[in-house]
Amino acid sequence: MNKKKRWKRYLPLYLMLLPGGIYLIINNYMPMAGIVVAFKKYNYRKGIFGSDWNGLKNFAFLFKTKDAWTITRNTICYNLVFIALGTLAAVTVAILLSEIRAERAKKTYQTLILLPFLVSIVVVSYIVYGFLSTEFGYVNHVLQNLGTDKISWYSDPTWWPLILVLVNLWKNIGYNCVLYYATLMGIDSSYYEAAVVDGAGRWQRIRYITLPSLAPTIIILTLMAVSKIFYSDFGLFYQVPMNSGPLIDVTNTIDTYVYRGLMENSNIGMSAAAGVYQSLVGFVLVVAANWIVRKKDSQSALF
Amino acid sequence: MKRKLLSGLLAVSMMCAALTGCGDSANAPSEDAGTTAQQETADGESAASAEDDVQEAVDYSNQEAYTVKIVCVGDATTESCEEVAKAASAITEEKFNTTIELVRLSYGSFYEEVNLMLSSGEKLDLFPNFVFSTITAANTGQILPIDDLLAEYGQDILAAVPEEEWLCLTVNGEIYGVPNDKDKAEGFGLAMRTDMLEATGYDVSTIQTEADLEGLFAAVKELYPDCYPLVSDNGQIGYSNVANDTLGGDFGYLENCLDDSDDMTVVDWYETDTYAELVQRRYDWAQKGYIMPDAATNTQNAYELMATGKGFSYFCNTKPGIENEWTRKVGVDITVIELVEPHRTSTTGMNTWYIAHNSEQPERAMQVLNEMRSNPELSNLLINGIEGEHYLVDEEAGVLTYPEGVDASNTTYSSVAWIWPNELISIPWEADGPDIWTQTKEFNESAKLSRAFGFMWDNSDVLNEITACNNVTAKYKDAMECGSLNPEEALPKMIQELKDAGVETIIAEKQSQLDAWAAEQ
Repeated sequence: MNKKKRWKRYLPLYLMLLPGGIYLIINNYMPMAGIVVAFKKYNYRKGIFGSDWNGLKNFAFLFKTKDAWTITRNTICYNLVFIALGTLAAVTVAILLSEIRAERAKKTYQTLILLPFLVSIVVVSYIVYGFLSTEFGYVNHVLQNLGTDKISWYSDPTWWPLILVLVNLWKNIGYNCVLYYATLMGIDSSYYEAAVVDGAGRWQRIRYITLPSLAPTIIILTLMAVSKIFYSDFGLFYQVPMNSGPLIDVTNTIDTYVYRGLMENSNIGMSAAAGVYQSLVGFVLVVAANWIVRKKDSQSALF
Repeated sequence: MKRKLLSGLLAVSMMCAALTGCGDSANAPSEDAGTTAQQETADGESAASAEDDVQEAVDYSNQEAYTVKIVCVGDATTESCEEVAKAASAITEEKFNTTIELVRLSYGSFYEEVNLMLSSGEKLDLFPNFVFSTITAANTGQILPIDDLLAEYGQDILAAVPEEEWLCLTVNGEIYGVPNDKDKAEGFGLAMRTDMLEATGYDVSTIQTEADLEGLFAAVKELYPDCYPLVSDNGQIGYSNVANDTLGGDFGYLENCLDDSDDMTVVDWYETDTYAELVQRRYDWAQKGYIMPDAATNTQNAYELMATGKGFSYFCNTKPGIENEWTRKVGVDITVIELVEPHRTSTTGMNTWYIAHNSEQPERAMQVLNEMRSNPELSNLLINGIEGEHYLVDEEAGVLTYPEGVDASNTTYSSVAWIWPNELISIPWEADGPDIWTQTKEFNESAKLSRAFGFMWDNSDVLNEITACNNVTAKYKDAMECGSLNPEEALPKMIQELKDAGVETIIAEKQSQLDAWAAEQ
């Protein structure tokens, strides 16, 4: 009886859960059946389940080429740099913001920092092009005035790791710092007052109060980022380098590889193999990262 | 209570909203189509036996209503496409009770968008090959084999297409496409802005090969420092200006396929001296400013760059009327010079129409395709648009002109005749002259044939190698051919990476198929 009553009470809540649940099932669970494509010689006419089995050939071929190594290296290395620099920059900016006393200035800065996050990546790619275009680009203009040779940016992969890191920082710093800033706002101000009474300077207050209070948020966000280390921001790696061939070695990630395989080569089997590889390693990473955190600080673990 | 009711209602309405989004997807009636096809075949057979007596005996006008979706390339507004589709439907509804839906996609996005339609199962019946390779599309099942459909509903096509062209479209013993009736041979040339060419006063009669263009480009650069003598087209310069036979595409070509030797050696084109010279030359040109900078990342069409005067020239196929075709496209006067004589291989000039694998009723698509290829009225409509709006007919001369205030640069339905199934039955434009189609037929007949003409290769056993090799060429090919990469460093890298990716397996496979084919001849 009691159970029934409780069920009735929560019914609207369950119903509200339903759309999200259905969305997840349709969008995230049902396509999982498509994993079989990775083991098939895909034929459009025969469809996903009708195509002939191909065993592990797609995987064997994927790992036989240099591509598998390149895309894995790029995806992981970029993400590591993004996590490290991104966290450092976001925390720094959040602390700086919290130290600003003038309300209007604070709001203005916050908005300005968040703005790039809201700009479409296609627009970003053209902003970058504005800087890097060989003939009319701002950077080459400056280089020329300094007496150095122009650089053909889109055919020289040397600088792209740096360019992509900078673009990513610029674009995402606002969003990341909002999360840290919100945590900062939640810190009880009496800690600071007490510290001031004890004669702590500004630096000491940051070091002994702000950073320890931020630690759980940093851990959670880093953990979530690490679990996604096998996934890359498609727009950043495809649109920003303008899909330029000579840059592929430093801009090809698992996501762009899958896309190219699908759109340019119509080789769905190999694309799917790369996708399955991404999911498997990604899954292992999530579990591993969570396990480590639980060992250190079980409060902050995700599950 | 009230609040509870409200929250319940809210929850239900949200759920409904979420559910409606995924209503009628993915129930492609493949089985239905199969049974109707069988039925039709049964009906048709009885009709076909009586065919000798009365050609037009089969009456298809009582079929259930169906819409055939045609996707084609070329610039056109959605409104104009709808108008043309409406007019075309008037013809097909009467004959087949079939409506036509027409979409035209820009050159740059055609391949990706059609690919997406094919993989998502979105409605699609007919599309031209444009940049699709018949062999890959057939082997991955993107398109349908049409032997039975042709026999049943494509009588006019069967009667018109010569045997050797079917061979070029046959994969694993089945026919996969209908060849367009158009210029079948292919020469290569350079399309230039006449006004700039005349201003330089350069004598182009000395130019025989691509290498000879250097002097001309130098003269243009000197006179117009802000203009690029050679531009790229959507990030590519897709012409190598030599007579190679690609033997059906992918990797491994037959070099100098026109000369008198009987050498049937398949070579890796990127390893040849000719290719090395080509990319070295392009690189030098880019260094001298003859090719636009960032050519490999340019997202504009060559003709747009030429129209604005940013560009002087781009390579093109040569055929009768090519100067006028380009003049219409660019909007200013264009001169074309020839670099490689017209010739035919199994794939040159083979523009083809396919029936998509996701066509719900392929037999209806074939009926429409047959009509598109044989009905002058329908062909002209699809190629040139609506009379009075996109063109006027000069009855006396039998040619088309632009209406008042309309020209190539602002028409809402651009005329790209060769991509449609049969341009030879459409009305020619005034600029091309009334006998352009006669000239085209002569051009086809006079063209030299490749040694391997009629050979089509089957890549089904090496699809993964091809993907891996395509991933390699994606890195280097366009950038090198646009002169953006120094071939001294890039070319050896590309050759090595191609080897690692298995290009030798592909070439060995192709060689054995070619040898087998040659032995049969």
